[in-house]
Amino acid sequence: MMSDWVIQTDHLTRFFGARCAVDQVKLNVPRGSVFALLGRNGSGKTTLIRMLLGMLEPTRGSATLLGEDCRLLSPATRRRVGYVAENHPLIDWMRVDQIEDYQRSFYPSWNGKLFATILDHFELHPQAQAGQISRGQRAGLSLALVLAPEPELLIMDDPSMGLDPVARRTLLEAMILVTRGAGRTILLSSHVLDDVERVADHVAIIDRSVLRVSAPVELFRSRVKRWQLRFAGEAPPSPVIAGLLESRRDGRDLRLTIANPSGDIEQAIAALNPESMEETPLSLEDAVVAYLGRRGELVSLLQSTRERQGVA
Amino acid sequence: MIAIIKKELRENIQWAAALCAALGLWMIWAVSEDSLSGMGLIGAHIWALTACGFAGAGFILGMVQVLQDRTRGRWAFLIHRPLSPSRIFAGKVLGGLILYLGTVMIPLGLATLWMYTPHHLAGPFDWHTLLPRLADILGGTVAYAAGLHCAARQARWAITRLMPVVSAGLCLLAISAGVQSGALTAALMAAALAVFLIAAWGAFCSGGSFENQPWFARAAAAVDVGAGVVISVNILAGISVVLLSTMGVTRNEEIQQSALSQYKIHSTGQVLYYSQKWAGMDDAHGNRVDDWNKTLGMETLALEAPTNLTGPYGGEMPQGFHDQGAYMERAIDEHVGRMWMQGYYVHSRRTIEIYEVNSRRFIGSLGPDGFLPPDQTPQPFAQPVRVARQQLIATERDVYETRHFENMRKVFTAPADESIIDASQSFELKLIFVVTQSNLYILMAANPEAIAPTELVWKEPIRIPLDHGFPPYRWLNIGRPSVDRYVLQYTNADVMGLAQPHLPDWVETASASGEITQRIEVNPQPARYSSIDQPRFEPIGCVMPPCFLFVFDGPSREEFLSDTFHGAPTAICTLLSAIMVVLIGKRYLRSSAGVWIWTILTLALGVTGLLAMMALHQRKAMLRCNACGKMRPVEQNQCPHCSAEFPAPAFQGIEVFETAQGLVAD
Repeated sequence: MMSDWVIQTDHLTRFFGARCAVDQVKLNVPRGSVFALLGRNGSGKTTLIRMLLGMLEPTRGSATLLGEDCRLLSPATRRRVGYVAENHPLIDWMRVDQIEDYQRSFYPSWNGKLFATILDHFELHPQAQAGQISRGQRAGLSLALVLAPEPELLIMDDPSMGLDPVARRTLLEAMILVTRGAGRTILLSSHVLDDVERVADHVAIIDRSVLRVSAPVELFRSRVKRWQLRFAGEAPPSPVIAGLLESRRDGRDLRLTIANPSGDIEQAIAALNPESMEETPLSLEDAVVAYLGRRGELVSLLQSTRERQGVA
Repeated sequence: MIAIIKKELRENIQWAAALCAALGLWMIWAVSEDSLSGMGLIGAHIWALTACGFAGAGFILGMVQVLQDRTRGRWAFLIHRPLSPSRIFAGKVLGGLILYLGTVMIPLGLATLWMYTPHHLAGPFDWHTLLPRLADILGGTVAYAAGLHCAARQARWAITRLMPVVSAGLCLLAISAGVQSGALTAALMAAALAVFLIAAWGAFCSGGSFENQPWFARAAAAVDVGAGVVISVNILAGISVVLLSTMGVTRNEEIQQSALSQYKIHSTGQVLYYSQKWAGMDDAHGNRVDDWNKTLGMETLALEAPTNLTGPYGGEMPQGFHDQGAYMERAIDEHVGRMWMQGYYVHSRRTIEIYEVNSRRFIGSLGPDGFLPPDQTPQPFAQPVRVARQQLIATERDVYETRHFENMRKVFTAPADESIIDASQSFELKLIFVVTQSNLYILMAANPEAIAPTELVWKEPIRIPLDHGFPPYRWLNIGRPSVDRYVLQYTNADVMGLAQPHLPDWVETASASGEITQRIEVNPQPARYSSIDQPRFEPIGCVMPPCFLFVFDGPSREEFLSDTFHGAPTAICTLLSAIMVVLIGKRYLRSSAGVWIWTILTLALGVTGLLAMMALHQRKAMLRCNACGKMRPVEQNQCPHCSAEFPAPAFQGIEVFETAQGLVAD
């Protein structure tokens, strides 16, 4: 029976020397989902992906990809997995058509129409040399090479890194166009939260090598709340609240972002005696930034400048 | 896999072309040098090119093939495809070998064609001379595999990355210097290639990690890298001693170089030998002889140790140029004038072919019937030629005398049950010596007053029985101190600086009729020469692997021990290294069996064993255990000291997991 999970990890851990890059990650990626893996630079996303693809040996723990141990991926399983690596590595001296020939020779099924469609979408000429095309076209070519064999699982490591907004949008459209309809699973690591919000239905956040979030996007958004408080005088220091992600003080204003707020959270906030208290809507980007930023109380740059001048 | 091969060919063709061009230029220079000597493909310059240049080209190609795929994330693009890493590796190797063969065979093929063309080589072109070069091509594949391994393996220290090429270099040097048989050379090269390719395959498929390779790949890598470490450490030790000697830290020590055998005949007929005790002569009983200045002047003539009897040609002289001394210049006829001549003995034809060096022109051939011009073919010698020296040419049965290839005449035929080993001529004494396994024959001129050598008439030979025979690695010096006696000295021959099993020297005197009149046996005395001082610094000598003890045998072993090894420092160093392996082995090795294996290897290899272990294995990362406070390896889930598991990441209350749908537990 086909498993519901295309990727499963169990306490997956990787150390580089004594530095822990991925700490006991336990993650399941459901079949058919577009799963966004989020985190700051160096948080362990690429390491996790490389372990999943068997390119890096886990220090501890295990992982399966399409039901197979990631350390011993067979060619048959690799055929079912497409991988767009960070920076879109290609063989630069090859022309686009040569790369297609090269890639096609490894796959028994090759959707040439799909490949051509994506090339058109990115305005790529088959005679263009891979080393001389733009970054956006490079990303498009990488995507076309990976999608043409029609993989069951697509793993993309920061595909929109370094792309201008137009190229990013084009890439996104291609991704949505091609993958959504086919019901493929996508594991996508990205920093562009706007894009993620458009395509992802599941989100996982790795913060300093530890997995903190793994949930459907809607559930995640529902579990992170923000309150905007205004006080008669200077805003008081941030209260101690369970799940406090971020507290930003700016003059009379205090903004609190809280994960998993309990029922009595409003009472706790009201105890601060604010002049006004309002729960404000939170975008996915705001929620993720709150997770990935500094914990606890933050003073706005403006407030910080004012305070420094006061001291001076 | 075809696609991989095509990609490798296209990707590395520019490297191969550049290397081919460089080798081509080198080949042009080498050919121009070697064609003058007429040695052709077995010339020293072409040998240097094919031995070093081909290996270098192979190594560079192997390195760049992997390094190109290691840069800018290309590894992921190469590896993640529906093909096993082994097949990707096989494709790379096949592509690389095709390029390598093209790189080296184009210049070699062109050079061969050039030499094959008449008037380009002062000698006949012989296809057999291509065989050593083919061995060098095979040797280059070993260097190619070493290049792959260097680039594919993870190396903790930058310098240890190059260890495989060091061991490959020594391996090729040892095979080319120590093996004469073509088949054995090919077999050893193939074995070396297998070891280096397995090591490279293991490193490639495991992404460079040593620990994740199968046992046989790890064993191959251990041989590959370990040998490189042993060699490098000892080379560095030698360089250090030289550098220290410039700072005056070392002390110079005379080394025993060879045995000294020096004999004279006293006017009374006694055999005297040189004594180091008082730098004078002793008699056979070891008594000092004060009036040793009354010894007779003795001209001696050395006959070669018959080592070529055990060589690949079974006593036949090697194909190629024999002693050029007598053939160097000759006025062949009026209209040709003076020329530089060379003779070339050709195995297949059993004739000696004569070439003019400057024009590389074939002058003619020499057979038992004498010299014939190029358009005529001489009869071959009846047996293989064993000696062609000065004016003498000796086969197993006959000795011929010639002068500038003319007036060829047979001067001696051995009895039916004897085979000629060597022959020599003293033109001053007007004597010819011929040695068989059991007898020495001396031919004396009946008309010593004759001026032209060709006018000499030889008398019936005097036979002196060689009671000791003529064992290998011996020299036979024959002297004639006076008209009525001969002296035969059997001494040891030091070959390649390695003293062979020493026999005593035998010195015999014989009467003019060939009867042995005196026979003494003397143990050769070691000679010490101050001119060959060697800087010594014992603390550095202790890096020598103790297993070398078992490599050397015989008298040289004691010399080796006393001169080079400095037993005590080496033993202490080895012991300390083994203790270090036990102490730090757990930081490098995954199993206790590994610690044992490396301890034993270190006892055999000394400090280089310890260094090889550290070069091969990745050092384990350690963290302090929260439970017991001791250091624990990060890859073990449980602390080896207190069995505590690694703590889960601290819960911060911000976690969002959809456990109900099984996304994440805990």
